[in-house]
Amino acid sequence: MCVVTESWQEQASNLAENLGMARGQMVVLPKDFSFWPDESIRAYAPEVVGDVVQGLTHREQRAASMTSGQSDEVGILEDSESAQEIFLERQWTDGLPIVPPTGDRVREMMGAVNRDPQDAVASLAPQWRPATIEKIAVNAVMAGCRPEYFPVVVAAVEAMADPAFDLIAHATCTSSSTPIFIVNGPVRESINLESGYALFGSAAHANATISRALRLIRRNIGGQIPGLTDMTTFGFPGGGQNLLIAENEELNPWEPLHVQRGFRPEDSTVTVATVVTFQNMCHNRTTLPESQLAVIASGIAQMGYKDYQNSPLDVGNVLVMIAPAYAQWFNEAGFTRQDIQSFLRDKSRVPLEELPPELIPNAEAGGRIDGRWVYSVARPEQIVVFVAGGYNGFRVGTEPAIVMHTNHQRWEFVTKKIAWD
Amino acid sequence: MIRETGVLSPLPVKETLQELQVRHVDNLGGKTVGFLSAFWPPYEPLVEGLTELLRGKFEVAATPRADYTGRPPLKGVWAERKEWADQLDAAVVGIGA
Repeated sequence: MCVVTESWQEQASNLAENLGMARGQMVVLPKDFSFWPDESIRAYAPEVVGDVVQGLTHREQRAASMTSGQSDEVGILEDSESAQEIFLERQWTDGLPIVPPTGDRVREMMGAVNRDPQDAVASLAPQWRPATIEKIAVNAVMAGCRPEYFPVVVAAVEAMADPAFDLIAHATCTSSSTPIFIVNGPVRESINLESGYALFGSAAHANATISRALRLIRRNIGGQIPGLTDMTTFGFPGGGQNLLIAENEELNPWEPLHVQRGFRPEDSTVTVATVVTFQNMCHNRTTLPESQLAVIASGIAQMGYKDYQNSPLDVGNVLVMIAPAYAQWFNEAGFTRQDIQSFLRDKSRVPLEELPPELIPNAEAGGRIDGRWVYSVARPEQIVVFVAGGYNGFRVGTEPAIVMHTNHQRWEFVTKKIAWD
Repeated sequence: MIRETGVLSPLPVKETLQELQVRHVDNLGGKTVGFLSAFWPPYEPLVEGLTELLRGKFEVAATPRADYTGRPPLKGVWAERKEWADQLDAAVVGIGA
């Protein structure tokens, strides 16, 4: 049985029901319970012990409600406007107009992969519902994807569903995080994925529609509904829309992200990570590569501060997206990608005296304290470097990098190969 | 059969497929009741109060606690959690804050 505060009751009920538990096996506490003094919380035990005992000895056996990915029609398409109204009314959209997923459109989408329509790619959290090829295709059609994008969508779903990514935490916790997807390999050019100018929020059709499809899939298949199962306090701007980009491999002087992660250069892959904070590093007039890198490190250190509070162990990661002109400059100055990771690790630190004393044990356990410094991450490889953005030719006075603090607790990166010829 | 002009739902279809396997206890006397904390540090005093009542009034034999706060179900944590739960007769899980 569960003990839960009022604010989390709907989420707990919903998730429990999906696992087959009875809603009655739950004790609900007042919503401000966490703010009560310890003595008041302790004194509340006699008020609820009867319900706890009742819940523990409850003998309700019920059938688990499971789901399948089989097709079900909601009607015949009469006109696009009526379909919009139906989907809006049932809260199946992101609030924007959708392409009605008719049978012929869904079939055409599924034709881009050689798989059975009822083949379940994964069960998606938080409601652990089957993401079949057919249901993924329905959402991809709604988002406006072209069939040639579909292999990327399917691989991204597999990546999100990998236990290492811990989608259940993303989908249910209070953090305002969102997944980010980075595509590598030949598929980028084939479907015109943007890796250059304004890649976050460009007009590129593939970036916009694939990221939208993944958002709809999290909602409609995973059941990630704000205020019901998704308890994010603020949400990420735009709901993470357009957070699907390609690496600018052609202007990257080092090995691209997918090769760093063990794939061949000719493989097409999608990597999923988490974004919690997003910071443009700019307003610097330094003319030395080391000074530019120190500015980037300051961004990591600034964002790393909250990590001391949240990480009982050191498992945080940072994504550093370096602009092509700066990447080439650093390379010409003799920096390898590994050199940059080590440099950024060593410079992303704050004085130990700035750390609240009660947080020191966590930082020590994570291996982040050395002498009088507290480091944002323990190991250089936790700072993941890749190259993207437009080539503007400047090496001073412009943005050398965007720093993304990818997780504040524990989430890992996952890379999956895209079935692409 | 999907019709060409049929508009499809984006949601998986609900259906009943299996019975949930649940262990039952009729009373708590002599039993082991565990407290699993997923994310509830403020509840510690409540757990202390409940423990005292369950042991004193309902003759519960043991009330072990496990704190998984900040530990994702990765790298063996799931197996460790299940192994812990298998030793119990019943469990109380705290969710939220």
